[in-house]
Amino acid sequence: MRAINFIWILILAVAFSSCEKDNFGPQQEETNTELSGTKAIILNEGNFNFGNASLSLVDENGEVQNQVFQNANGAPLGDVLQSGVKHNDRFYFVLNNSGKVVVTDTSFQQVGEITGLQSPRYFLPVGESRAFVSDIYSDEISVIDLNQLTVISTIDVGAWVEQMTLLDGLVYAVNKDDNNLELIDPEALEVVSSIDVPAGPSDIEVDAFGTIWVMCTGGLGANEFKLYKIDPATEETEILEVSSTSGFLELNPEKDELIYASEEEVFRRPVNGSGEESVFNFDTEILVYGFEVDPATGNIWITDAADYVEQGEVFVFDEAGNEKFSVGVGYLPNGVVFW
Amino acid sequence: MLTLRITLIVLLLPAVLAAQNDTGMVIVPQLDHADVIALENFEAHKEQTFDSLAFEDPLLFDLDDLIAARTPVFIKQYGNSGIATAGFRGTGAVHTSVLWNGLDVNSPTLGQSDLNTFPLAFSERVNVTYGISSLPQSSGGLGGTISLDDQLRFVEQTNAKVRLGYGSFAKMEGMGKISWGSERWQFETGIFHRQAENDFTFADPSRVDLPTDTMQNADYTISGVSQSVGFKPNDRNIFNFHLNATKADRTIPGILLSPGKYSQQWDENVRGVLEWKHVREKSIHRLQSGFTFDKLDYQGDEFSNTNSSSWQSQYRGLFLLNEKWKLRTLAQHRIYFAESDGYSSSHRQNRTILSSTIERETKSNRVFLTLREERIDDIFSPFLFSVGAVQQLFGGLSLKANAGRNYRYPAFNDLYWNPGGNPDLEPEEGWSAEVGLNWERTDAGERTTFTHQLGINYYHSLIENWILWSPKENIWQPQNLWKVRNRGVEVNLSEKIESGNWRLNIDLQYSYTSTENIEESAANEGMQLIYVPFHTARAVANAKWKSWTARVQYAYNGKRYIAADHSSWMPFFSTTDLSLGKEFEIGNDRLSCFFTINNLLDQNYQVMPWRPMPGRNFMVNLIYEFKSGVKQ
Repeated sequence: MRAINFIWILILAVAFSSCEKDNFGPQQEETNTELSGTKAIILNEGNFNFGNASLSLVDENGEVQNQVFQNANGAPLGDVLQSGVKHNDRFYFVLNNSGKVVVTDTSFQQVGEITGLQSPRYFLPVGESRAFVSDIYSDEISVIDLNQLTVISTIDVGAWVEQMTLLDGLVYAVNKDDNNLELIDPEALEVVSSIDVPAGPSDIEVDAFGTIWVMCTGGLGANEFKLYKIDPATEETEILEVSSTSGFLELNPEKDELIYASEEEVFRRPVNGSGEESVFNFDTEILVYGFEVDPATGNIWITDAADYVEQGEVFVFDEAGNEKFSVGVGYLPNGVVFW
Repeated sequence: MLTLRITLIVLLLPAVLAAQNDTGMVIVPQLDHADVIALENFEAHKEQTFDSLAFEDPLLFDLDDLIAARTPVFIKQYGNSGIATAGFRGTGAVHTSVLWNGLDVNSPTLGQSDLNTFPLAFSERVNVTYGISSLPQSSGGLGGTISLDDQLRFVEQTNAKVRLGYGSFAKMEGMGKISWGSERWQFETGIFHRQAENDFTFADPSRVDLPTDTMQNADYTISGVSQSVGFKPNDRNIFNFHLNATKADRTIPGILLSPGKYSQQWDENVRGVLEWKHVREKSIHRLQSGFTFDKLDYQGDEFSNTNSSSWQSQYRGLFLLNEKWKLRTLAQHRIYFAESDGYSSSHRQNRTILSSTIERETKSNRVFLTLREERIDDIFSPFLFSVGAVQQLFGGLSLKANAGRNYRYPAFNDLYWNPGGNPDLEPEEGWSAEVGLNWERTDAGERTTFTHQLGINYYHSLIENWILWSPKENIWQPQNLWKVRNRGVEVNLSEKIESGNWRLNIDLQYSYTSTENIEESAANEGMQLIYVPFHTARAVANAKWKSWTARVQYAYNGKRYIAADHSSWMPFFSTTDLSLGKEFEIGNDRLSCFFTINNLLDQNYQVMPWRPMPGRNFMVNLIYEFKSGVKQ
């Protein structure tokens, strides 16, 4: 009976292809390299809804270990790694679309997580056991108890708040919706005042003299970059023209020079000087997705997100702009945590 | 130059009318006669046709089920209830043209269709056409075209069908159709509803030790109605009106790594078309005018609303020039309109389409040439064509070849999305050629009849100006970035065996797809595009013994890369579904009962990353057919 044969072939084909397998989620290439010397953590943001956020460790010789969190914990980190901070021998990784902050020890073993956040962006320690977490959609800053790893209070800011910095007992939080800085009392947990800034504030730094600097992009798609200088004591402000096109603002280790980048060039500007000067040019193929200055060495780290659908790269330059090394990391690297 | 092209096409028309005086075959003057319907169908190089499945096959409910299980097309399924889109031969969802009774029903904003919102209950016939051979029907289907058609039969009848089902995860489904009328009037009313809690359990690979978890926030409700009215005053004229409306309310869970997150999507689709078919001695004319209306509300972290509509009118003519030559003409005008929270203003688009197909057919061969020109607002399409031939060889073998040029105009979102929309986008242009060998044979024995069919097809196509959204100046923007080469082999084998009380149908399909960007110096040059499996295979076996039926369907989808540099991927998955049924004759009526096991082998799988699919689950279906009063 040919009919019977067909049925058997079919059954065998089905049985053959249905061997039990554990690997049914997304899979990734594995690397295993020995590292030495000082290391830096690369924050690989990953694609939205791909769940491919990860950590890479890069040592001073340019050797890399990828999938550091996955390897240490046997589980993925989460979706959209927005930022990370080291505080008191713990790392705090903000997973935007997972709505949580993952807390690890210095060997990247997870020791806990802070959940119940809507769309968290940045993490700022404001005391030994207290931190603020900003959010895109909740219109609030969450106040975290770092011992309990729970949200103990919220501060209503009524808008999308991004980066935060602490200066003279006040938190300065970048309000993206209203183009201002919200000044928050971290003890009273309330907004005490605000300072208007030009459109599209994208990064904030405080120099060695206590002056606040805000990089502004002009807003989504506007590309009208301005540097805004605020003297918090006198409330005097100044708008400066810049050649920046990437929105990032960094300081040198002495905190007396601002460092920023266009799509092909890195600039520095003494905080008390008059103008900017070019430090070096880099390959225009690099898509500047993160820009950091190592506060210990002054090395400049540019993280390149390539074309967003493949793994990125990190390019490291010394203060004079000589390329030290470049190395392949995870998806959409957006920042570096130095430790 | 452009004007000349258009004129050439138009000039063909009067030539045809003059040619009608030739002697030759005469069309049976009865429009709903099977011969006439067959004559109207244009046989494509590679196509699959499915007839009235919804009330026969409990494994299929909507278009998504059908395409995923019975064609080699890869369906991107965003979870068990979410959006499902079709990509033919390594192309994307935007390269799949979807037609409903001749109307273009792809969303003008997205340029694609969610197959989850097309129930099979409403469509008597689903035709799936691959590659360039879809050009005579529509442009833009660089991958292929799915065409859904309602058909009324003008017979004295009162006929009703009901299908009810209940299954795991509180899944409830029902559909019904009543057809009644005479040789002059026909009325057909349809209704369907499907809902599920969808709270299935799954193994969670995002956590250590694969704990079992329960899906939350994945419930859906989708329902709809359809109405057709047909009027046949005489054998030369038919007026048909078809209307259908569907409404879907779906909760779309976030990925496993964003637990607790979900979004809500509400779709409303209304479509209607009025047509007049007129048959003369040597020609058939069809005049149609219809509308589509689509509303999509989405609540994620923020709310968005999109409304789009279209008004589409067309004339289609078929002229028998003589015994061998046929000419098909098409003139269409389509107006698309869309407004969205994502646009800074509403947008409108006018499309005018002229197309002719000349066809010569003898007993042993058939050749055809299609010419097509479109104008979108003030822009003329490239000159589109498709040329093909079929040659009967010996012993049931036939050889086919088809080649041509197609194009796809960017969708509204590509052009107008704020921010990022790029009004300077060029249309995508596709060149394509394919060749196929087909073998068919029937062995009729004393007790047993075997029908064998084997087809092998090879295609090669190139899509230039491939539109890709990618970051530029910190904003995602669509650009004409890639040149994509698609090559592949499709093999299908089917066996029909009839022996005494036994009927057995087996259908096996395999396809190999190689799709790569060949744009020089691109980072992914020469690498398989993401989400395109190299290998897909399908098997369906359908056995009937007296009043018992058994169906098994098996689908295999190979490894898909999910990063352009191939650094991450989704492993292969396969599913097996089994359905057992028994029919009871109750007077003139027929009751069929089915028991179905989906994912029989309880495989853990994900089609898209971190979106789990259900394990083994069950369904019971009853199908009742009231056949009283049917006069053939």
